[in-house]
Parts: sequence; structure tokens; C-alpha cells
Amino acid sequence: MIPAPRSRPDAPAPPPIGAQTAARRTLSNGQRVLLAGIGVLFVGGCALAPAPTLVSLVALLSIVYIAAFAERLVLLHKAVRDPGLITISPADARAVPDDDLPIYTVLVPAYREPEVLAQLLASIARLEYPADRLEVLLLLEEDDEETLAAAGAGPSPAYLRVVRVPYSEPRTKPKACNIGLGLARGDLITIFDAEDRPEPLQLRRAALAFRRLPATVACLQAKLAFFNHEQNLLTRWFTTEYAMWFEQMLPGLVRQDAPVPLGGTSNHFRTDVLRALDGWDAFNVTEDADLGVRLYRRGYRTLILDSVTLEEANSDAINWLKQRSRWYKGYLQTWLVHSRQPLRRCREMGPAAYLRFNLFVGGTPMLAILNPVFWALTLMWFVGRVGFVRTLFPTGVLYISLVCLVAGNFTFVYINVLAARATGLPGLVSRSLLSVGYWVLMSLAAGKALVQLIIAPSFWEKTAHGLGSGASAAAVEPVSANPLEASHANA
Amino acid sequence: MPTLDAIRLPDAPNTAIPDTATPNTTIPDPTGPAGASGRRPQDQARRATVPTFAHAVLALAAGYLAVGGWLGWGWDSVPPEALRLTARAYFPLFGAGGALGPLAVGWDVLPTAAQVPLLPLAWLWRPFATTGISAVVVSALFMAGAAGQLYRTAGALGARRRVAVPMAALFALHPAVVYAGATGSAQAASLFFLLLATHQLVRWYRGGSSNRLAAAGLALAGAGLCGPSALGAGVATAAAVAIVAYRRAGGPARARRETARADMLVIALPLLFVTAIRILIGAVAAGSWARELAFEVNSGLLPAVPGELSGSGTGSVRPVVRLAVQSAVLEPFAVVTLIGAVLAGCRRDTSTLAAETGRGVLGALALLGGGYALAVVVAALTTGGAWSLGPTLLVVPLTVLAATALTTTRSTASDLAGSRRRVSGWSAARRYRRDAAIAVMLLAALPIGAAGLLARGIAPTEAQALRAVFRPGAATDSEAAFPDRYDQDRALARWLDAQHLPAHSVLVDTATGFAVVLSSHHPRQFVAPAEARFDVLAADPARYRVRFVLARPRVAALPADRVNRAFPDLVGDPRLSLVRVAANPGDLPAWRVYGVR
Repeated sequence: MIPAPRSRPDAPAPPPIGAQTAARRTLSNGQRVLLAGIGVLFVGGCALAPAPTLVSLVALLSIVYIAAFAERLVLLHKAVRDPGLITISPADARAVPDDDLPIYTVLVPAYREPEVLAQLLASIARLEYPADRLEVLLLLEEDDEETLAAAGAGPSPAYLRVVRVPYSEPRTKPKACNIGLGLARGDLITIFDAEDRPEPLQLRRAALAFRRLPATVACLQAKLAFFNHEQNLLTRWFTTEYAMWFEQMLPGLVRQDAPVPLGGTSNHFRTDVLRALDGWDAFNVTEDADLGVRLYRRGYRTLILDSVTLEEANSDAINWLKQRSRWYKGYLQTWLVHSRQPLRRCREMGPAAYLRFNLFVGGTPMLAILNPVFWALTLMWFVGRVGFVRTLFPTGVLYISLVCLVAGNFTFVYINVLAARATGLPGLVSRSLLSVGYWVLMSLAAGKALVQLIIAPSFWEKTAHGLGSGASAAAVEPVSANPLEASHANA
Repeated sequence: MPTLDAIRLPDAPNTAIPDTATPNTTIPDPTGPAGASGRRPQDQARRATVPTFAHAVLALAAGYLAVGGWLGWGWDSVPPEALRLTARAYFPLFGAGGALGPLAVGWDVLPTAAQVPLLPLAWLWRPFATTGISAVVVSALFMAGAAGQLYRTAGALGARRRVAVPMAALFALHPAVVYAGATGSAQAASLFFLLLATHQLVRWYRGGSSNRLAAAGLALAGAGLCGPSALGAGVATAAAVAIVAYRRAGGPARARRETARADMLVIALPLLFVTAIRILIGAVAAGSWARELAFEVNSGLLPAVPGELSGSGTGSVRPVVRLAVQSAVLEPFAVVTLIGAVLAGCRRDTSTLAAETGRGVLGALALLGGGYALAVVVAALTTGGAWSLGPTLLVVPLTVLAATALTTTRSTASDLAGSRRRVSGWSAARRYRRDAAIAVMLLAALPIGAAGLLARGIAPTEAQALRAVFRPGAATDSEAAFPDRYDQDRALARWLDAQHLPAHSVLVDTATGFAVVLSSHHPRQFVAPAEARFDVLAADPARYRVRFVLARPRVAALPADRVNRAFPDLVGDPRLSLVRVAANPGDLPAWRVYGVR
């Protein structure tokens, strides 16, 4: 059962002005001062009393680890008991007369993706939604002639409009989406990425769900899954991760009534609400996660729609690193943006939800960054019995760390196993045992994200699509949606 | 392009939106607490039954605790198992400077570790630790929980409340179960987790999602931290799950094999992991793999019931015979009931629900049967096991669940499916006769089991502790002296405390000297075998300033305890000299205190 929406009539609404540029500055003045203060304290502590300072740091991090571990366990427990998905049967979805359906706007931001555009347009053509109530805005950067040519090469249905996005910085997907939002005629609006294959009934299901749900439900996130899971080990891990994300983590967040970081595609909105929120933050590279938090702060709810959009899993390690580092960077941006006035945020969201936000949105990239440090310490102790490692872990801290090391790591592997099993593809299960290797990749991406956050916070590192090859991508069976550790699909 | 409608959706219940809305109708929020009326009916029902269930379990736990208190305080018949487990938790916490590593050495990790958060109460009230109450609290809660799980498993097998409640009661009131729950036995925790696993497994067999399988796997992992029986249960269950998964799965043989392998992994992985980690941590704490292994095969060396030791030991046929007799005494009709249940499980009619129930019965029996088989084998092949009814205790829930399966008839299964059908008077009479016969068989186990607990030849350990209480007239001198068993340990602890010895200056095997450690106000003076330093100190006690070595005289039929093994010739060892022989009012040989020269 999904908890009742919180009643927050008196919650101070965040000012919409500036929402589109909140992430333009990575740190607010207060955050700079705080960070500098912590840095001075740490350096001073290391100089004057290195052992107690480092032990305190390790203790603090161990507590954060165990809190994040406990939070994931709670999410898993809630999702397993009842994921609370919004289900609309195909019969119900088809029973709505065409005339009763609202106008639906589909935003398709694309940049230099001519190879997958035809596939997307074909998928949109397969949507069971009346053409006269459908509006598809293909958002192309003004210098993207190749995709424009690809769009012009095929059939041009009446519902398709190509929008040229004029050059301006930042050159990001959310900026293009904001332009699309300004032009949209639909009562409802959604986003599909260029390589997406949405389920044909998805728009009907979402439209009917919005009609039946209270107005406080402003967003429905459809589940995402991959069509090329069998391509290689990376796509298998990715598929399992998505299964975990969309079957366990996001439903768990919904059940907790916590902020839901949206996936970058197949999220459906009430257009008026989205406009009232001032659209997406053009400077945030996971604008979807940011939008999910802003929706929550305004008292709106996000639910998970039981409908699947198939995507292409990143099959190339370098390309995957680019994509994942962008996601981590975006999570860090989102975390920092919504932590600028912590007391006010805490009052808005409530202490528990604010803590969950910090653990989930902030904890996901931060722990991925810290993991290699603790792996190295563990290795140094077990292999070389390095003395200072023992010093860093006095008895109490040692036990907390051991719980994280043993129970935490096993739990995450086992969650992956369960997610893999839930996909209905038993072949993924044995590969999920090796997901420790995936964590190494995640930490690499997180480190890269941290560096990029400092030197190029709004740089949108493009993910190449079509690596799965059209033939294999079309041939494989789909997977039911499931999860991932740190992300969504704003490819 | 694949058909997306065919994508498998999750098994768990979702929030389906009622199709009652029109655009102009105020729609109750389906995401809230079940619309305008509040919670959904099943939630209301669940919330209504949970307090009753929880109260019943807590009341049962209080009953076990009361029995344990009555035995321990009323009769000073403090059960050795409770003291042994408490000492295992007490020593690392208070004696070894907060190093919890030794907890992982050997079996019984979880029932021991569960006491760690309770033991600080000993600061306020020392008898909480010294009389084993801490262990009894843990065993009472676990055993009551086990009864609760058995009740739920019976329900999952299709038994109605009027059947499930008596079945759970017959289990909970079985004398051996009461004894284990009231005396701090590690078997209580083991039974709880095995029955929890059984409950979840039955739900999976009856069409539940793989989450049920995962829950069963996690419960088996919990059992793996309580005793060796989990390993047998794990092997049997993994095999049974693989078979069922293979038969359930559609498609070509390769896909079916993959499904079977995946489901087997889901259920077995937690148990494999905790076993590996337990052994790894145990080996680190104990100092070597070999030492950890030694504790694995002989962790609970105690005993010494004079007159009961001859002619037994590792490799002898007699322990196996004794185990068979013990099982027969605990549940005289176990074999008949089990055969009947297996046949019933195989013969279920072809309706899906009944077939799933049948598989559930067989799965439950495989899990508990596997656990029972391994516990018996371990007890027969290692030392000490056959002296107690503990290893054979699994036969009780095994028989009760088998009996439950026999009472869940086809009509019951049909009732579950919602197609209640009329039964003829003759059929009803036959069913009642059968149910009555089952009830009589299970009821008969109660007095027979009680008699077995007091029979020296069947349950030496339990009889030694209970005969002075229940048959004082027929008790031997040794049995009559049982309540005074730990007087010498307490006196010895007082004598050692008076010496004001530094840390790590007394070698003692805590598997036999647990009461000395628990009675001491300065437990840091002891060095226990589970500590890696034990062997180092024992090799050259003078160099490491060990002051005393505590040992009891060896009993020939049992392997020496670890002090006797470290000093094979205590009397003639030139490094030691006998300085004290404890006064011995109890039933065990007197402690000898050897000073290090």
C-alpha cells in the first residue's frame, strides 16, 4: 500500500524563479564557507592530532555507510512487500474513447543520433494513441543537420514537429526540453529518448491513470528496461541494475513517501504542474532527479506506472563510464542544490524524508567515491597487516565497518541476484554474482564525476547509442523492468 | 519487435486502480490508505491478527522463561547449555577486551551473539549472566517464535485455524521443546530459523514469487549460524527447489536448467555466504584454519556424566542406536506419520492448488528432514551429541508438520480455492477418525517424551539435570548432586579473584570451565581456547606470565579438553605444580589448579 500523501498545505513553496538555473553555481556561498571550514578543521586536525582526526573521520563515514545500508534494506523490504505500482490493464486502457483522451505531448530531445531516430519514430508510430491528440516535438540542436536529415528521410506524420533549438549555453537536454515545454499544447507531457521503445499502450495507461489519480499526483514514472541485455557482461549487469532500480528502489521510495529521483525518460507529467515548476534545470545534468525532488518539495507525488520502455543498455565500457559519471555528477549537483538551505528543506520535506533524500541522492555517488578507499584499507589489512589500518578502526568502529563490509556487500550482491531473478531471465542470475566488478566501474565513474563537478559542472557528456547494433537489438527478447544502483536513463 | 504486453510483471500485489471513475467523479485516492474508508480489507485483517499472534508468541516465551526460572532458581538446576552459551558471549565481551571475534569460533554463533546486547544487564544484576538467564531469555523467545512459525506454516499448507492452533500447541508443549526453550539451548534458535525457512518455502511452493525463496534462503542462513543442521537442510532444500523449478519452468531443457540453477542459487547463496564468513572470521579469531576446524567438530565438549561414558565415542554404533531410540521416544509415531505425509504429498489430486500444497508438504519435509539427518549424522560422528536430545529435536516439528499435512485434505485445498464442496457423512466420519488418530499419536508423544527426558539411558544430559527435580526419590547420588554442580566453580572463581591476577594469566577451557569464567568478577584474567593466543601461551606459560592452569581430570571415553590436550601429562609436567584441588560438592570431577613454575 502506498502511504497517503503528506499534507503540507503550509509548506513554504520554493520560488520557481531560478529553478531553471539552480545548478549553474555548484556551491552556494554558505556551502563554500562550510566546505572551507571543514577543510581547515580537517587539515588542522591532521596536523595537530592525526590519529584521532582520522579515526573520527572513519567513524563518521562508517555511520554514514551503515545508515545508507539500512535505508536500502528498508527500501527493499517495502518494495518486496508491496511495490505499489500503478497498474492499468490493457482492456481498461483501450476502453477509453479516443475523444476522451487528453492531448499528449511527447518531447524527443536528440543530438547527433540519426542512426536510432528511425527506430524511435517507428516506436512512436506504434503507440496506441489517436494521432489527432498526439503531438511529438523532435528537439534538435540547430547545428544537428544529420539528425534533421534522418528525420526528413522517413515518413512525416502530422503529429510530428521538428523544433530547432537555437545555440546557447548550456547545451543540455533539459534546456531543449524547456523549449519544448514552452511549445507544448498537450495537457500531459512525456519525454522519450531517441533510442527508446515505449510500450504501445503507455500513453493511454498514463492518461487514464492521471484521470483516476488525485491532482497531487503530478508525475508517473514508467519502468525502464533494456532490449540488448544479452550483448555482453556489461549489459547484463546494467540490466540487473535497472531491474533493481525500477522494481525495488523507486517503488521503495514511493512506499516511503520520499522524494523520487526520476528516470530521464518515460516520465509523464501534468503539463500545468510542470510549467508551474518552471520546467527543468538546464544546468543540471540529471535534471530528472532534480525535478523529482522539486515535485516533492511542492507537495506533489510521483508514482511508478506499470508500463515498460525498452532502451539500449550501454555495451561499451568507456561509453558507460561517460554516461554513469554524468549521472553521478548530476546526483551530486542535485544534492548540493537542495542542500543549500538545509533547515528550510528539512521543514519542507520533513526530517525523515530529508534524511532519506540525503542518503539516497547524496549517498549514492558519495559512497561510490569512497568505496575504493575502504577497499584499499581492507586489502592492506588482510594482505599486509598494515599497522595504521588497525589504528583507524578502534573496536566500536571496527564492528560497524565489519557489518558494512560483510553484511552490506553481501546484501547488495544478493539484491542484485534477486533483481536478476525478477527479470524472468534466469541466465542473468549467475552473472549478478560478479557484480562486485560492476561496483569497481561505478567507483571509477564516481571519481570522474567528482572531478568533472569541479572543472565542468554542466558539461553534458553525450552517450553514444546504436552500439548494440540494430540487428541484435531487435532480435532479443525484452526484459521486465528492474533496477540500478545509481541512476536512470537520461541517455 | 517483441510484444510488450507479454512482459512479465512482478508477482507482488500492485495497487490496481478501481475502474469506477468518471471524469466528473471525485475519485478516492487509491494510493492512500485504501480510499475513503481507510485501509484495504487484507491490511485490516492482517493488522487485526498480528497483535493476537504476537501476544500468543510472547505469552509462550514468558511461559518458557518461567519454566527456566523455576528450574534455575527454584531448584538451582542451572542448565549447563545456558551457562555455556552465556559464557561464550560473556567472555569476549568482558574478558577479552571487547574483541567479539571468538564469538564466530565454532557453532552457536547467533544464539551467543543474540545475548551480547542483553549482557550489559549483568552490570546491574549479576545473576542475569551467572545463572544463565540471559541464554534462557534468548531461547524462550526463539522457541516461542518457532511455534509461531509452525502455526504459520500449517496455515500455508492449507490447515485451518482449528487445526493449526492445536498443531502449534502440540509442538510448543512437547516436553523436549519446552526443555530446549526453557534452558537456553541453541536448538531453539536453530528451530526458529528452520521453521521460518519452511514457512517461506511452502509459500514459494504454493506459487509465491522468488522473494519467498529469498526469504527462505535468508532464514536458512540464520539457521546456519545456530548449528550444523542448517547445512543438511540447505542441501536438501536446494535440491528440492531445483527439481520443482525445473519442472515448473517452460521452454527447452537449457532454459529449465538455467531456471533451476537460478532458484537454487537464490536459496543457497545466503547460507553458503554466512557459513564461509563464519569460518573465515572464526579462523582469524582462533588463529588458524586447523583450530577453527577443531572447534567446528567439537565445540561443546562438556559432559562427564559418570557411568554413562563407557562404550561410546566417535565411530561407535552405539550413538547411532541411541539417536534412533531418542527419535522414537520424542515422536513414537514419526515414521508412520512421515510416510503418510509423503504419500499424501505425492498423491494430491491434479488441481493446481492441491498440487502446490503437495509440493509444499514435500518441500517442508525435505527441509526439516535434511536438517534432522545431518544433525543426527554429526551427533553420531562427533563427540558428545548423543548425550542430549538436542540433535534429535527436529523430529518433533518434522512429525507435527507431517501430521498437519495429513489433516489438510483435498477438501481443505478446495476450500482454499474457494470451491467449498459438500462431503458425505461417511467421508466426514472417516476424516474425523483419521484426524483423531493423528491427534492421539501426537498426544502420545508428550508423556513418552517426558519420560524419555528422565531416562538416563536415552537422554543422559537432561536426566542428569531433571531427575533431582522430578524424581528425587529415584535419583542417584550424582543426580542428586547436580544442583551443586557449579558450587566448586564459583568457589574457584572467588579464590582466583582474590589473587588479583593480571590479564591473561589463567588458562582454562571455557567449554568446560564456563561457570568459572561467568562467576569471576575479573574475567580478563582468563585465556580461552577460542583466542588465537591460547596455544602460544600454553606452549610456554612461564614466558608469557601465565600463573595458573585449570583442568579437570580426563575422562577416558571423551577426548581431552583443550587444556588437557595442551598439557597431556598435567601431573608429571615439570612446568606445573598442583596447588589446589577444589572442594567438590557437585556431580562433576573436582577442578585442579596447577601453578606455573
